[in-house]
Amino acid sequence: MEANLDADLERTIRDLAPRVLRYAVARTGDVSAGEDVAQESLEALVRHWRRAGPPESAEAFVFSIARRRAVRAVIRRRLWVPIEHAFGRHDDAPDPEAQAVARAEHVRVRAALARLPRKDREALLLVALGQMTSAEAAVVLGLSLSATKMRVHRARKRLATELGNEDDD
Amino acid sequence: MTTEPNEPNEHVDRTLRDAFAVGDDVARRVSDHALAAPPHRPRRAPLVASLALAAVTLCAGLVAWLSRPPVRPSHVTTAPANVTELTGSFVDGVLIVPIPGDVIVIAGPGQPDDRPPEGSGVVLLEGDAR
Repeated sequence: MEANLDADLERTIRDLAPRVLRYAVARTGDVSAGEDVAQESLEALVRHWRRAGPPESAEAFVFSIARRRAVRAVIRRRLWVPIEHAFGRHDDAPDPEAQAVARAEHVRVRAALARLPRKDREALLLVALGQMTSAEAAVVLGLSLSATKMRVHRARKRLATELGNEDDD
Repeated sequence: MTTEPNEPNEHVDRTLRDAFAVGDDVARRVSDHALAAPPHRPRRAPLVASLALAAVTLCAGLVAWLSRPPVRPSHVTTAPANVTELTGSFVDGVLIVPIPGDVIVIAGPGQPDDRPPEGSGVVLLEGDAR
């Protein structure tokens, strides 16, 4: 019985990990902060699962936590990054040209995402990167299903326009 | 019943997923760490307690500093280095002290007053004599 529970938990975690990682990296704008957020959120699920059994929706549980932690990570980053730069502690790793080219798409999409309204962007990230259904995203966002669908639809349309406009430039 | 158009959705979603692609090794590492999580969340109480203590200490120090008594100028006068002892006597509340030196410097609460003595002088003092 316990072995089955552990197997279910492991399967859930392995399924959720890349989804929450993508969401957290996009939400924080930083790979290492995104990894921290994803890991903490998944750890919270593991603890809850082992203590009280699986939550009603593992997706909603993990993404609700990831969303809150991502906000904190963004605030922390905004506070610390200028200080780290001032003390010369920013990442000095070489950024070769190939890496820069590979990141170009990432930067371009990030810039387009940043131009979306915050709430629309949040809904889109949960659905597109977190691969949640609109109903699950609605639970995480505390919105009605129709409102969530509308936000996601609006965000997709606007993002497509933003990316299209850049291509035209 | 509302429907969502699929084709543009798929294009935008794929663009997003490509831009924020995550390596399998990273996902595996994060999963492994999460599954190996200790049963209880690490306690942060000591850190919180330290911060609270530091804040209380800081506030107490600030309050003490703000409520310190105002500094008053000292009324204590010290004898010049070349005078070892001055002896005088009170006559009707007036202290009469013979001055053996060349110059007397009277630096009271008001302006200092330098004047050459003529063998002896009269110093008017205010306050209690002890």
